[in-house]
Amino acid sequence: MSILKKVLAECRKRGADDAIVSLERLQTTQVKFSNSKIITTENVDNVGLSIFIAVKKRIVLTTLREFSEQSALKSVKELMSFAKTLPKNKDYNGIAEGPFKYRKTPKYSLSIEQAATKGIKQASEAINKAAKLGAKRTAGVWETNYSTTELNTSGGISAKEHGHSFYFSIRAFTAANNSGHSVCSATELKDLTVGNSIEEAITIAKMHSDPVKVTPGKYDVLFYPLAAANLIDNAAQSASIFAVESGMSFWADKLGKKVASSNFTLYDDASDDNGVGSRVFDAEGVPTRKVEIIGNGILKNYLHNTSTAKKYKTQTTASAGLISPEPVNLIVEGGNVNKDSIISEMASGLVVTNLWYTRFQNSATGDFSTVPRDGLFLIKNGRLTPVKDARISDNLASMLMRVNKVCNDRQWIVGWEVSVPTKTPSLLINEVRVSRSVD
Amino acid sequence: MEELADLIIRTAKNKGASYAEARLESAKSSGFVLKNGIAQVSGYDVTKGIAVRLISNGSMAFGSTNILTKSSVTKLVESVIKSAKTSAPAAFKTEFSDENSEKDEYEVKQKIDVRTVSPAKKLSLLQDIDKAILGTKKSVPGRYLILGDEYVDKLFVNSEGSRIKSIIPRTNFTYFTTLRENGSLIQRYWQHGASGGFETLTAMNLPKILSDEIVTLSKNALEGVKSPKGNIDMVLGPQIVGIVVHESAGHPGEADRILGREAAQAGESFLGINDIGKKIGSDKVTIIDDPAIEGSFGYYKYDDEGVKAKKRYLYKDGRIADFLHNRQSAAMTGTKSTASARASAFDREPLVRMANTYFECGEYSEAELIKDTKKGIFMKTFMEWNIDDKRFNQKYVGAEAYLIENGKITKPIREPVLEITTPKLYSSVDGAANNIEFHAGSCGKGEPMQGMPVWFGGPSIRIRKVRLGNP
Repeated sequence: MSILKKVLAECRKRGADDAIVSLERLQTTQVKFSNSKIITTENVDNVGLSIFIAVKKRIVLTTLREFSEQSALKSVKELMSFAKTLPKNKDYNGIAEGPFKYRKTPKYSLSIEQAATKGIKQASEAINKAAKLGAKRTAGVWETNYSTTELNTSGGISAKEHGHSFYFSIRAFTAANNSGHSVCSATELKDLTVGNSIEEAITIAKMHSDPVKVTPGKYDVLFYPLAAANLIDNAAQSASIFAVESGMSFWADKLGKKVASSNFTLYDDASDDNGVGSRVFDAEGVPTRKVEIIGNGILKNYLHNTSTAKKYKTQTTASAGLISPEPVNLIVEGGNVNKDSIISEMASGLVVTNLWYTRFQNSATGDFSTVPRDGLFLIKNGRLTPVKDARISDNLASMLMRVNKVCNDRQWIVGWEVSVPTKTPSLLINEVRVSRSVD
Repeated sequence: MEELADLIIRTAKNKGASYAEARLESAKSSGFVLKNGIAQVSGYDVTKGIAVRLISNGSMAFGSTNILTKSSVTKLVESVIKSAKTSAPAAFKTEFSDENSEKDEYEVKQKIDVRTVSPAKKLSLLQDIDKAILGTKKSVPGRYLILGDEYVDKLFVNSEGSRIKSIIPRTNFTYFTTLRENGSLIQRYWQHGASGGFETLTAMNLPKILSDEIVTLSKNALEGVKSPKGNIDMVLGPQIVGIVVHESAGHPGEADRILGREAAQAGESFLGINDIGKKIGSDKVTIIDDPAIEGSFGYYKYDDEGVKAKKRYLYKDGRIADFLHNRQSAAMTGTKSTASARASAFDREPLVRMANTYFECGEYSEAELIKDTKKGIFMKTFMEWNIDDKRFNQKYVGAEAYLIENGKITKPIREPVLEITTPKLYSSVDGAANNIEFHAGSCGKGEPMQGMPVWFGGPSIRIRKVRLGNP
């Protein structure tokens, strides 16, 4: 009998009403470079056993990153004692009942050891290529993650999946203050578009030569995918029913109502084969599927697990984390407009290629600010002029209502400022408030 | 288990590493969440793992595992050596500054051991806070309260003979509250934290802090007037001074940022490596980072490269005094480490980090600063803030703020916005009070992200003739 089954049996024996036992192994290799040199490499191997128990509506969770079969079984006893001292969660309504059928995951195309060597080679080549294209210096990472997850639940679910993902990030400088940033990610190495990212980062950096200070005011702003993904990632946190209940969602009480312009459609799709956040099943073993969050501007669904779905008399969206429902792979439906043609037709506006330090003043209203980083351009009669020192101080909920155009250049974005993998095109948003510091 | 750390050093040296270190960490943490009065999932984590970082062929490489067997650890070292050698042709040639090798053991004492306090007692502290908020009789539809503690037992060993054992317990409390008042929603987020036992949490007087804050924010929403704009004097309270020094003195003073190592992640710095001695503000500005403050959230006696911690002056009398260095950045710039290398867990590389950053006290009281201000704003706490990645352009939106008229606080004002460059802010300081406070935070840096416990603080300060709001 596997350790998972033994721990699950122990949970039942000790009186757990619900139990989820999962074993996850995550192996990461990373190559980090800066000043056009590899600065370090990382090989990380992490195994964790998680035990979730519900007993008489009291819910407890542990993750053991040091365990044996004996210590895991002992933890069940501790957790049961722990649970009995807690108050009831009257909102808790159980976990999913299985079994389910799952889609198959593809085989690994290369081993983690091969990936580590490949990463060093690709990072070295990227540094050299960027230098040839005119980068004075570059910084970034090449990373791969191999994960296996095995899960057994008291709901009759026994499931296992594995996957790997690849991620590349490059920030190129063509002068001290002229920079461009680009990222790419894929679930297969052959789909990792390292070359495109290098070219994009350098193109932006070269264009951003000798910027002048921006004039505060309202602008129609074209957000490139890296910047748009930052906004979408922050906005989509409002879709979790957990955020709604915690007073941290600007989409509370908005189900079925207009929350974005009619050309804007947003999904969370953990079943997308190319999303690096994809998973076959959620944290309680429910097969993942494409969930429409916003359809043509209307808020269609909050993200639920089985327990919250029962509370609100709806279906789980297979978005369970062990603590709260969460988005894992955000996808904005693409449009059919070319961003260059938008720029050429604009009399005035701004182009924002990257965003940094996005913070809410109030996540319940959407008031926030964020700082453009790297290439930032003023549009004047279809031509771009480099500018700097801008801050976007606006309301994110309101900005989504002002999406004027959705472009046809969708990219998968994940990285330092975008924690949930997000596939988005460039977005033109009207009348965005831009401010600047006193100096 | 300690023999595994020694095995790492032996194996690394046998395989040709010129330097090697091992970090064996064992941690137990617990966490509790109360959402609108309802206990959410509570639990605990147990972690034990080991890290190796080494230099081979001049190339630095890091690795970690929590499969703690001799064969697994040996395999880890071999893979890390292989990565270092493979990357060597394209790698930066890493050297470390010369530092003393240290042998020591230390432990942060607890009056009430966090591991012995029952889950019910920990949760009851959150329930007391929730009751206190509800006791204000204000409408607070969002009450999201998180309490946590950790007990970290660490062994650091390196190939130069250092061997340091430490035990640091920490406690923390984080909250998000959403107040509905006068047709508006007002949100507040903050964190409290310390090193020590459970007694640190009970000493924080959290029920009173949160209920007082709700009452104050309610009053501000009901009675607050629109914030004036234009040039004005401001008194900034300790909480704001804390975040200011963290963002615009601590971060730009991290030598790895200055040297471009974090360019694709946390960014760079408006400061250059040759800027020591350069004027940054008025002579009232002295900012310190000190890991050795007992009981602090950012406390440590030795950093994660085994260098003994000391008090660091970042800005002194208005001039740039020193940078935060690890052994690599120190070697690159021909100086000594300032013991700033910290890793958030066994599976993370040590990076240059702050510990406890604060503005040095002045000679006035806060009341004197206010009394001496003819027309101004007293911004006591804040909601939103951010700063660009060179740490030059920053923004703070006031939560609790008041108008000062003829040396007296006259009425609350709503959401004043201070958006200012770092040199302008520090050049505008004309006085500091003596009411120092420290606040806790989790500072983000690195890829993958490392949240690091820090304190930041200072006394109230006055800044003169700064522009409030946008033109």
